[in-house]
Amino acid sequence: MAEHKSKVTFESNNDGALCQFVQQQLPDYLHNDLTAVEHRQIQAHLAQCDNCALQVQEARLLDADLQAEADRYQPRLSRDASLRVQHKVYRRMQRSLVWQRTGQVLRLGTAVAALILLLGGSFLFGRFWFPFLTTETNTAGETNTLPDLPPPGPTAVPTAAPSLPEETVVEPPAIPLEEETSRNGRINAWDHWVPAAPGQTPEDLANTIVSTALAGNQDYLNELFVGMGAAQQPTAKMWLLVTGRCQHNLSSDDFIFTRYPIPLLTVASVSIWYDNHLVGEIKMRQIQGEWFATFTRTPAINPCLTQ
Amino acid sequence: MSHLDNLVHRCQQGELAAFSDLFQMQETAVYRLALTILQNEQDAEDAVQDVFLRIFEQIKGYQGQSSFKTWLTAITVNSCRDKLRRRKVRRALSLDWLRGHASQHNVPAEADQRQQSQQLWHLINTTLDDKHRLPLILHYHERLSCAEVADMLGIRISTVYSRLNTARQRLREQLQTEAEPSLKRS
Repeated sequence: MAEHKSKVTFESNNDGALCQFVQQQLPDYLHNDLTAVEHRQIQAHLAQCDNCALQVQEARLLDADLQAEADRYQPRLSRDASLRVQHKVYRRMQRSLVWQRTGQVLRLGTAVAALILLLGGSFLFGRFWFPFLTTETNTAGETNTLPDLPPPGPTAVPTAAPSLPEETVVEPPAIPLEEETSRNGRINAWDHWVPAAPGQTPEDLANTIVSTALAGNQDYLNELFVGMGAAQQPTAKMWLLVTGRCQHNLSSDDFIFTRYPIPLLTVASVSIWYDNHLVGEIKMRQIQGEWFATFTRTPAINPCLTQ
Repeated sequence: MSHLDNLVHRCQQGELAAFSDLFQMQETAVYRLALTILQNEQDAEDAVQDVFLRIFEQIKGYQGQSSFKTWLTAITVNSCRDKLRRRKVRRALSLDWLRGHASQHNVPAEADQRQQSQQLWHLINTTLDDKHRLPLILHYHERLSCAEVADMLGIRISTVYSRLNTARQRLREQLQTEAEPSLKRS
């Protein structure tokens, strides 16, 4: 409005334009809605222009009549009508709220259904890639949910070869090689966790595994991975195949130990690389303070196994 | 914070009791404006209902840039304009309108009597089309400035000036026309 008012052409010498402007500004003039300067300018013009003065006088009368009638006009909703309208409004408000809540429930339901589908699908088709969806019973007989393992990344290469812990020496059972295959040709290593020696850290376990593999100590490997019984045999067999066929080609540089930056550091792994191929991986996790390990492999790119 | 501001704030929090208070506080103002624009009590009642539903749906988005009264007036005017548009379509399709009896059909006798008692506004309603009537109503009834009227109707302020002038001129002419026969009689 101020912008419009600033375009006032009172400086114009054209009387016709001035009169036109005054008529335009009349509503605001009558309602004292002009700036003091503009108001004074219009008053000055009205003092000189009888035509405009007459129009202003007529407009004032009309304006006063309109205003008076508008002020007198105070219709009210009757009590019945008011209650009727209120009732209708509340009914529609409630309906609207019901729709809003229904929408919220539907959105929540859709989200839950999507989550169930995701979890169900993952459980059915992706247990290997979503290990946290599987459960297992540990040595204490308690059910544990396995944590997800992030992809391996090289951080440290253990090279020291520690001595074999006395506690892990047990009679190695025979390995039935015929039992090696599983669904999709992949060993479901997540079902076959092997306990480390009591008190062993994942670094110790990794060093033990690496040094044993490099030394080709199959007896120890049997003890390490088959100690828990028949359930671990397919895993142990795969490990033996890798270490047996590749051991002369492997060096400590081919083993990469990784601890994952997960709270409490309960997950670690040793990945085995051969000729720039990931041959296999030993995943480690902590259950009630003790470390367990399992072996996974990638058969399609395992050069040792395809020999 | 004024009582109205407090009420609006409570409505924004979704308090239904506050809506009830707001309704009772503002229903007369909304009804008055709606009846002035629509000239039909049933339509005005419907407009009140529509306005308060719109308030319920939109009040969370009210940020207080304009006063609540201006916001409420804008909602009322928009609701009434929707109804006027629909009425135009209805009349265009109505046989009564083709026969020239549309206004009598749509205005109840009671409302007609009320209009007769308010000669000037009756003249406005019968002489002016909605384009010229709305600025006049908002300016005189609601005491809005020309700038506020322009904002509310989505037109330029110069258009508001010209429509108000045109409306006044037509009214003056109509008043003179009505006055002439009585002068001749006297």
